[in-house]
Amino acid sequence: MSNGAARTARCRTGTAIAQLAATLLVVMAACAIRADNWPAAGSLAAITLAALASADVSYATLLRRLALFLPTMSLVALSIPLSQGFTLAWFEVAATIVLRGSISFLAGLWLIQVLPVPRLLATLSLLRVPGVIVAMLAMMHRYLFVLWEESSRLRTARRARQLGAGGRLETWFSGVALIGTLLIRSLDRSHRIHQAMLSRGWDGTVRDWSPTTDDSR
Amino acid sequence: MHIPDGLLDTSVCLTTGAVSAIAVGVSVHRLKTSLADRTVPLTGMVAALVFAGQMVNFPVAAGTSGHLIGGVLAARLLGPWAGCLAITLVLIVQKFLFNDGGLLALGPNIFHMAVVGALGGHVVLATIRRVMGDSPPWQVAGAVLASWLTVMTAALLCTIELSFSHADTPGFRPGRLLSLMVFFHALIGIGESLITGGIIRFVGQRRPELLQFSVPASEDTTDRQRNRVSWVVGLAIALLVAMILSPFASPHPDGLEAALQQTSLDTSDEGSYSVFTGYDMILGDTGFERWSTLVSGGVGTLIVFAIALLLARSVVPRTRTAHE
Repeated sequence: MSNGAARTARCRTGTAIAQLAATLLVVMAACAIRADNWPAAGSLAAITLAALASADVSYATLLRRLALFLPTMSLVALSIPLSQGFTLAWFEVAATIVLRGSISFLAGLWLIQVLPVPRLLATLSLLRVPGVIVAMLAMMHRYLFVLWEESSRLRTARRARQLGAGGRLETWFSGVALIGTLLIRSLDRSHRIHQAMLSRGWDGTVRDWSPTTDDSR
Repeated sequence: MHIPDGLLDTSVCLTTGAVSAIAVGVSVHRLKTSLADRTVPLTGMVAALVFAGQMVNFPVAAGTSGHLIGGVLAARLLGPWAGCLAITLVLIVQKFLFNDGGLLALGPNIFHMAVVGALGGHVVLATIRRVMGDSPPWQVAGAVLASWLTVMTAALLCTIELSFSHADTPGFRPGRLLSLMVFFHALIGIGESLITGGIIRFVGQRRPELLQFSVPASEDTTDRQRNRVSWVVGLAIALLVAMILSPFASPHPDGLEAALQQTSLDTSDEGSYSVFTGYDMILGDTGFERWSTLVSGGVGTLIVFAIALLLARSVVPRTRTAHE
């Protein structure tokens, strides 16, 4: 690889570290504000929304993700008034939690938009995260979608055999059987992968995930 | 659902994050010293499996559903260290691929699910295996018990973290939050137990060799290590019980105190040489008074444990060494 390409890869990784640090800063700032501090909350929300817009996140995606996130976040926050009493003070605590969580969620959404997993791996390597973790993470990311497809096929086959929705108990049994089958197939697959790795010279030594091999984007 | 950002205080997240980083660091170190060349693909694959397994929903009630957490399952398949790493990887990928859980809250999430789930789950699994053997029914029973206990421990720790996060809010009652958390997580724990136990039973019936520990029970630990594990597990259970139950302690006098009061012999106020006048006074005016009962339960258990240990050492002769 030429020096120019290596420099570009290092520059990308540096940008990724800056993106990670910026998100962390926004999350920490969001976790410090209170619900009644609208100027601070509004400024942070505006910054994250502008960042999301610059990252080409569509309104439809944003609304869909928020529609999934907000109900569960509100339920979590409601545990405070539910346990402490339904008074205005405790509802304010719950509102603060929802506000902090929402701004942090938007910041996280921006991060996953601008920092895909391959670049994350290169960044982690540069941050001196142990090579074993980076290698396992790469392996997991590689086979996650394979297993997900296999799981989808198993679910389709289950639905085809069930001829109907089935009872709750039946769904539990078939869910357990599905994960169990997936587990057996995964362990067999890991054995085959290990054999393939051995045939390519794998000796158990984890090499660094060099930033110059960053193939993201 | 994983803990999102905003629920816990930043200092609490950083503290639990530091504990998690140490646990993950120890796991990496332990794996490095005994790294089989199959560990990397196997751990990566099991992490992917746990991720895919979490996508399978189990209907509960009123339109809600639950899913596998997977800490105990990973520990059962990979052992404690690789299991801890596998769940850590799952949480990292869930965060950076789907924005599930918080960035700052990655620390507490790893602490609850990887450290308590996999490392804690392994301690329970190993204890049951040591005491009851490794027959298929006990494999399932161990997985069920470990799953339930780890979920409850995580709930207790989450309550403590939440309480520290809201300690400066006047009138905050940790005991009531604990009741709510224990109630809901007891149900979640049952679900996790049924799923994990069911998977272990399913795999045990079809491919029992996949569930074999790589080292036979009789060879992997010395007697001294076994004793040490028994002490640690016993102490952990005692601490858990003392710290969960102590906030619910009755404010009324016990039988002896009531009898003394009735006979006008109550001497609790004057001439007493106790260090603290009650369970709720151990933290005094430090700003953490509401934690006094909980801390008292823990401190009391540790003191009794230390006394029992000293007594046992002085009464029982030293254990014979291997060559005797």
